[in-house]
Amino acid sequence: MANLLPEGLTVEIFNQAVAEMRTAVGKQWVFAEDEAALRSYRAAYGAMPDEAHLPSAAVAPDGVEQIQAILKIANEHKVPLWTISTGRNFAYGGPAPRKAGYVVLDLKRMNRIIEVNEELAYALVEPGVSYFQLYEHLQKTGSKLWIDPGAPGWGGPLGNTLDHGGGYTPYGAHMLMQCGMEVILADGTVVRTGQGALPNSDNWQTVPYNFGPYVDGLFTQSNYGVVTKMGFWLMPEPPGFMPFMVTFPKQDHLHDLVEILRPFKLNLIPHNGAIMADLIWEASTKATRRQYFSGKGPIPPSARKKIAADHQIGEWNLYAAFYGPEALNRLQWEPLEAALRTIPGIDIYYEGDRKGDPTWDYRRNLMRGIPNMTEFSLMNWIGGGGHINFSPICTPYGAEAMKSWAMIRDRANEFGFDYIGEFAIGWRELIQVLMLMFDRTDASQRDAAYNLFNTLIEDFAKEGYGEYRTHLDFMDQVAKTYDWNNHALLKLQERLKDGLDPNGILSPGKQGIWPEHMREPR
Amino acid sequence: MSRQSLILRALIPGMLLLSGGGLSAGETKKLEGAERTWAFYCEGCHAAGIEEHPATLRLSYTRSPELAAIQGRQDLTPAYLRQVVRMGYREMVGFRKTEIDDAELEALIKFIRLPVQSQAQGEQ
Repeated sequence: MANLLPEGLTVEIFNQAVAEMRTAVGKQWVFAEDEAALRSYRAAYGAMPDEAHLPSAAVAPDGVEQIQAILKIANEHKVPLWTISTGRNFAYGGPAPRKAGYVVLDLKRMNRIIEVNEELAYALVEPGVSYFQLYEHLQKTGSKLWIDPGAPGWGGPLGNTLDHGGGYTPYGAHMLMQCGMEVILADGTVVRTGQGALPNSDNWQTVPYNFGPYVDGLFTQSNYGVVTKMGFWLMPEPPGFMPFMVTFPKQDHLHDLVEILRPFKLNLIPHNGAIMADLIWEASTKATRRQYFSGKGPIPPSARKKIAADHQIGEWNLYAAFYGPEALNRLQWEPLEAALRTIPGIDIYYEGDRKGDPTWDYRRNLMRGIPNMTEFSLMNWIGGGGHINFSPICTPYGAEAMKSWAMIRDRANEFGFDYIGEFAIGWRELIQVLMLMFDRTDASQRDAAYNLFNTLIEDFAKEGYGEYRTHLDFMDQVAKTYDWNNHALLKLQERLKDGLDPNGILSPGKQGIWPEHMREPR
Repeated sequence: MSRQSLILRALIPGMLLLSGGGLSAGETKKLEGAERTWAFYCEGCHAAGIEEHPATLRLSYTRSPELAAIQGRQDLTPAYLRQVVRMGYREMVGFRKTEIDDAELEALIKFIRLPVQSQAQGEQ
């Protein structure tokens, strides 16, 4: 059978477990000998070689009972399972397991859109449902509800939300829009959260809370259960949609922009999950680095100026939108526009102003709830496929944004990389995302990317900045930075892990949470 | 479903004719299924239209504008397509059997290799 084995398992026990899983789900839905099938689970863009995260097997159930059977087998034979939904967020590891040799519990086949309620504007879906699929469903049924896709449309609402992901419409804060879950615990118990715990309730997808502690959050970025259904709210189609883009010619304008936006954003203006993208992020969806600079090290200022001029973009580029009656949108835009126009040299673009610009098109479509894949063009900037996201949280003060941006830029340049980044503008937070691009076919670039990432984690922790999520390769490092009061939070997370999953079968090491037998002494 | 995908769907009967016709109802259904697979997993990156599609843009850089869109390319052999769809290649990730199973993959390969003259005519 497979060359890889889960840690601590003999070939005989592994083979026995695989055979039992085949009985549980059908032999065609357990992959163990087929190398091509297993390689499709690789962390395709990571800094480590594929072998660091290849599974020994994958099992793909099609329902709750089959998952319960798999959990029983895993508990009996101590098989580590790594649960994935669509498994399509590759900048954080995609479908690959934390450690080589785990068995991937692939929920992609569970792709049912269980309910869309047009009147109350919500959906209940399974883990395998993708944004493309949900969008297609709503189009076909003539629904007047919008989805809020992540940037790659092949991801899905359940997995994205569970990993604390975000989007670009007014419903972009996905955790806030999540309402009700069905979770299978490691012992096979099926739990429904919120009002779903009340038999015959009609409010499972309308009221997120239950009587007693609110537990949904425990099953996000965690390894405490297998989420098999998730409810979330959908946005009713507004009577008007007014997207806009603002280009800022100077890097220092990040400061002014954040200061101007903060009081507006506290009042939910603009309405959506707005984005400030830097020059190269913006350019890389339509140009390559080589077209402007063939040397090593960061792109020089003269080339940056040419990029900006060629593509009519700024050092920073704000994308945002208003939603609602058109007159009201204009009324809300006026004071924001006046404030932004105090920054010299900005240009403002509206719908129709940037015809033929693929970057405007994909940003506009994301803000309109139309899934697409155009952001993958970022990979064309240097080629070679490698990219991982370093995503620290930042307080929305101009000085803080400038500081955290400069920290990443300087370190990236020091390690030989361009700064390619954006800030996602939240209600009271900014999340900066460094798109750390590297040529994965070049071992020295892979090493440099890995070392840069670890250095950034340390730099940011020293300044009190945490990452909101991270790639498989850095989960332990990031978890250890949340160490107030001698790692009290991680210790609590471990106590929960031990109580809910005593054999440690569910996604060991996810977010740095290891079962007792795999824990390293602190 | 993108505009392009809807156009493609409308043109499938014509494409089938161009491919020689004479397909059974089962084979036609498989190709229609393949069109959906294409829409969910391929066209976001590989559809014609260099500007908006990352892989088409990439291939225009690394190969040529003529080879940038993969639909209809006969030099992409079934064996090659089978390999890259499962294992990925450089910027392209692989696709799991839970996303595209073996039968769907074979139908997809046929779909990708269908001549696309009718599509080009339809868009003019």
